[in-house]
This record gives sequence, C-alpha cells and structure tokens, in this order.
Amino acid sequence: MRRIALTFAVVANSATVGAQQPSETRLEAPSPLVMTVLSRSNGIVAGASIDHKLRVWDSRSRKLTHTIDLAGRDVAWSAISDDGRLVLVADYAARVTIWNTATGRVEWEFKTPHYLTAAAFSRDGHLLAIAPGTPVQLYDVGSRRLIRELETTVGTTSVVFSRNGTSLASTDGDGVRIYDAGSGKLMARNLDFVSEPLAIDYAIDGKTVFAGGGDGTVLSIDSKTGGTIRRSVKLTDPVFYAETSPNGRETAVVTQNADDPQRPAPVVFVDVGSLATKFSWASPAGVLLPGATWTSDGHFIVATQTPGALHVWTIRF
Amino acid sequence: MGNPDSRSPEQRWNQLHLAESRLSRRDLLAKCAALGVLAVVPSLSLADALDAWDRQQGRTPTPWNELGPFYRKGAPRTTQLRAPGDRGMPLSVSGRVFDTRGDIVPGATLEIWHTNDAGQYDLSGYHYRTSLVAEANGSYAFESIMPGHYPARVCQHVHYLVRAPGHKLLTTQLYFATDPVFEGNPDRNYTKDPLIQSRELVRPVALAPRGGNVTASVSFEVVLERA
Repeated sequence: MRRIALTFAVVANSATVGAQQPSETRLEAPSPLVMTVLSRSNGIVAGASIDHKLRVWDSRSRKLTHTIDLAGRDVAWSAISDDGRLVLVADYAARVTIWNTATGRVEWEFKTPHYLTAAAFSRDGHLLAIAPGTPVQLYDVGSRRLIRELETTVGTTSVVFSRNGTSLASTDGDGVRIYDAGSGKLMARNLDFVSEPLAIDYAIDGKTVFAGGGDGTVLSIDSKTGGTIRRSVKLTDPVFYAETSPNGRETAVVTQNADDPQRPAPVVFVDVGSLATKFSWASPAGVLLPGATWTSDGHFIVATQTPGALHVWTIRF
Repeated sequence: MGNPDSRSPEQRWNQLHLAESRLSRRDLLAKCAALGVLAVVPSLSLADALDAWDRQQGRTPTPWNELGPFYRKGAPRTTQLRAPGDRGMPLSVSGRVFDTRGDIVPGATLEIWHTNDAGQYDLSGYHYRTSLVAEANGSYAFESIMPGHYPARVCQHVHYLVRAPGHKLLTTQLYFATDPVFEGNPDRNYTKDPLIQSRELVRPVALAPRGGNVTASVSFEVVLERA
C-alpha cells in the first residue's frame, strides 16, 4: 500500500446499498498514520505513523500488540501476508524490512536498487513480488532468495499474484502485464489504458484480471490473451486499489480524489461480469487510509482515521 | 559591500567541496566557475569546457525517481505547454540528453508532465503534458508554468519519462531549488520530501525579465545508462 498525505477530513455522506450497514472497530492510535495494512485473516492491522513507529493491533481484541521503532524511516510502501504473520515496510532509502507480527521481531531485511513502488505476498505467503524501480523481483520468502527478475517496465505501480500463485500481474505506465510466476515468462499484455493503471487483481479462477487507474475506469482483461473484455463507465475518481471478493462476484474498487487525496472518495463495488456499479460506500468518519482488503470469510474491510483513532470498517455481504 | 573573502582558492575549494559533496560534478564545477575558483580560457565557453570534461570523465546517470500515479500516454509533441492566460510563473526548462560516456543522445523521447499552478493534474487531457524528441545535439526545451504543490506530495516537481534506443529507460523528477519547502537552503532541506533521494534533482532557478513579466529558467540535463 502506498502512503498517503495525512488527513482527518470527514465525509459527509455514506451510502451503502446492497450490503449491510458497516460495523466499526475503533483502535487507539496515538500518532497519526500514514499507511495501514489489514490481513485477510486473523484480524491483524499494522500501521506506520508520523512518529516513525510501526504499530500492530489485533482488531479482534482491539489491543495494540506491538510498537516497533522505525528509527526515523519514512515509509514508501507496505504489505501484509494473508494470515497477518508478516508485515513488509519499505522506506525511501530503499531498505525493506519484514517483521513477524507475533513476535515484533525482524524476520528479514534487505536493500533494493530504489525504493519500492509496489509489493505483494502470494496468497499462501510463499512468494513475494516487489517493484524497486527496476524490473519486478520475485523472492522465495522461506529461503529469502531472489528467484528471478521480470522484464523491465515503465514504472510498476501495482503487483498481485493469482489466487493459486501460478500467475503474476502488474500495472505500469504502458499498461498491464501478466506473467507465469513459475518461469517469469510474459504471457500477455494489455496496452488499452491511456492513463496509467494503478491497481490490479485477478478473478478467483485466474482467467480474468481487473485493472483500474488514473482515468477512473476499470477494465476486465483476458489473462490468457491480454485482450480487453469490458470497460466500466468512468468513475468520479482515479482507482488506487482493486480486489475481487472471495465469492468471485464483486470487485471492490478503492478510489482517491485526484485533486486532493484529503477529500473523500468512495469504495465502489462493481459486478465482475458487467463491471456495472452495484453499490458504493463512503466512510462516515475520516478519509480512507491505504490498506483495504476482503477478508477470507467474505467481508470487505477498510481503514480510516480521526484524531487519536484508527477505524476499521467491516462491510458485510 | 560584504566583507572580502580572505580565504585562499584552496580553502574555498575545500569548503565548497565539503558543503556541496552531494552535487553532481558538473554543478560543482559550475559553482566553482561562478565563484572564481575555476577559470576557463576566453576562447572556450564554460558549457563547452564542462562538456569536454564530462566526455573525458564520463557522467553519472540521472537519479531515478518514480513514475508517479498520473502519467498519460500519447501526449502531443509541443514545446509550448503554457496557454495564454494560464496562472502561474512562466517557466522555461531546457537541457540536453547524454549517456554516461558523455556522448550526446540525439532522438531521445522525453515525456514530460506536471500539475497546474493549483497543484492539479489534467487527467482527461494533455494540459501541461508533452512528448519531446531531443534534437541532433541532444537538446530539448519547453515553455510552461511553475507547477503548484500537489497535495499528496511535499515539493513542486516535473515528471520525466525518457526513452532512447540502446539505453535504459529513465523515470525521474525535476525539483526547484526555490521551492518554499527548502526554506532557501535546498542543500540542507532537500530531504524534506522523502522522494528526493538525490540533491542533484533539485535544480537552481534563474529569474529573468521577459515581456514585462518574470520568467523562471531551469536547466535539467538527462544522463541515460546504456542498456
């Protein structure tokens, strides 16, 4: 998740149609956050703050479990494994650190050519993809070994593994690229974006990818050929994150106000087949922080903040 | 008048070199020339002398900076990004494209974009966006306005995406030494924007009167690595 400008703006309107009213989990946040990551299972939340601390919460018990000193490091990107066991923090000095959230200890640390502009764990946590300004790199998490580098891209903005980890998709200034994760071979490309795509995810069967970007449109793309299947209507704001629900029916599209990220922008849930908007949701308290996700049991969770508090919203279906 | 500088040229050089160790060699030599520490024979221009030096010594690649979230393909080839009536201080940017051997790279494509005076990107069109091709002598230039501060970023900046056959693609950003964020001291304060990992990307700004207005001029040379 990329960091955002700090904000406490309040959204006036909240609209949730087609889902139950979201529930809120309020966590004490002693310092304003610049990024958060939310695990898909086990309720782990991690956030870096302007006091250069990484805090880890258990959202189920609402307890702060670890406060880790980042020693003045400015966070460029963060990621979390599905089970919440590993949290990756990359700083602008091109240092990547992965902590074990159970112990609060460093598991792995390494330098990269430049700071990261994207990172993602595979769903099983065995692989890690990072974009350090140069070609995307694939690491084996268990052995901490660089497996391979993919081809050079025009500024990678997001990476994601397919559900079974056999395929990897990325977005960059040219468009969308889909690779075989095992061989690193480029399998397909889509160059139909004019404005740079910024977010991508697979359908649960891996046959389609959904990508969105600066112009506020979402494309469904055949992951075998790279061809565009469908293009959504233009949303009001650029798309910064996209993720398909575990039941495969919706893709959650997190938008951000382009002119001022401190102004509110909604999460839009689109039908994976038609790309029509099913409903949208805007936070009633605080602007979205980076780090939304679908939980493994089928809810969408997203974080906002107000002074002194981190709010985790659960949208139930 | 201020106090005369009683230091020897060597002392001035040492102080300059220590204080400016994060500058590129070319910037350092240009500063030395301005301070009188470095002299160039009258038959040779300073720019030509620095070019010759670079060809002898080689150049360091322009530091990388991220592409940024609002790049758009297909920008028109125009040197005039500023439209009549646009708000903001007029800005002239020029430079040349080299490789790390100091050789000129003609024909390099430079895609350039930035915000308007209010810090907003044009997401549906191509205002303040261009795609230039470096001339045979490696030069490029464009007229625009000083960009505003984009709310999610600390500093004013101009995005570059530079491609040339046989060279590695470069994404970088140009910053302005006059940015208020630097409080007049970019050497000390450039890290206030965490994305600026190299002082070299913060360029001096020259103000000059033009047509009853003041125009800001910036030189930004691009050095590509060979593929």
